[in-house]
Amino acid sequence: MSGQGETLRQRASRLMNEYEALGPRPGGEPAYTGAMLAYRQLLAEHPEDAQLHLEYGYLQECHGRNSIRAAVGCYEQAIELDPGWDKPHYQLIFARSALHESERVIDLYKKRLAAAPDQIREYRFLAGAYLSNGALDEAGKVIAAGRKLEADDDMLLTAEAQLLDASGRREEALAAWRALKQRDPHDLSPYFMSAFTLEALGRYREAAAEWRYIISWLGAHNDTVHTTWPKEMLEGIEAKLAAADADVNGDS
Amino acid sequence: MTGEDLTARMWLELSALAGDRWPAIRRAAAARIAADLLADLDRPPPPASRLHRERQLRAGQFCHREVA
Repeated sequence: MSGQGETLRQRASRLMNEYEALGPRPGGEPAYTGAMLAYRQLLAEHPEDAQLHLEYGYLQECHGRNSIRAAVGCYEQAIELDPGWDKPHYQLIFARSALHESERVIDLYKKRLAAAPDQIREYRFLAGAYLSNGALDEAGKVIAAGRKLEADDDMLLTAEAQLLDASGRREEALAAWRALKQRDPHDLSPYFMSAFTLEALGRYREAAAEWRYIISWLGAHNDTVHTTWPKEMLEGIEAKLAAADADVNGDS
Repeated sequence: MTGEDLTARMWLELSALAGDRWPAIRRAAAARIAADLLADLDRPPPPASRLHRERQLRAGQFCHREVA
């Protein structure tokens, strides 16, 4: 399908169209690789060209979506091979939600709950599916039903804290995360969640304290590689703190 | 004491009283809880909801492929 004597721009556009049409099918990946090379060269030559940036971005967006779809296949395979393992279910929920396939993932976990109504994990998964898709009323109903079965379930309490936060009831969410911190000192999730909520409330000093705790905990548990992103988050909060202090002091 | 605390305490007492029959009782109660929940959830999402918007977004992925 390559054109004789086509310009680099025409080649980039043709390969992008081929990748868009083929995706993960045969011929798609070589088209993507070729298009990436062509767009990088074009952008190096014309960094001021808005159309090129748009097309290069769209190419990557298409590839990202196809990569997430490939991840879905991997998670489904992991679930089939190890049905008792929860982690691939949560990843599947995130991935399908990222693809805007909320109905599909919600239907799956509704069917699973109908088939195993005494399994608390099925309430956790379904609540997660609704939460990931912003369906807060439905998530609340699932959490409430699950807590009728196991009132003290940590994962449902975590989901409830997320629901409170998403509903704007942030002080209640913070209280829920404080309680969860006491229950499992090895679970960092409530610290991450608290950090984001505190930042959203403009309570930067407290948010910074959460990030510092996360960084020190990871360092103490030989997981410094995962401190990179928390350190960046902490730097961002410290910059906001410095800006707020400068405002108070009347600095320009 | 919250409603959840009360439920947890009631289940604990029930499980002690029921003895060997507890797993069957729990399964029956769970089936009822899930059936009521799923019947409630099976109503279509209202047009203003995020789930309704998700349907539109997914459709949009196919409708907005034109780059130019």
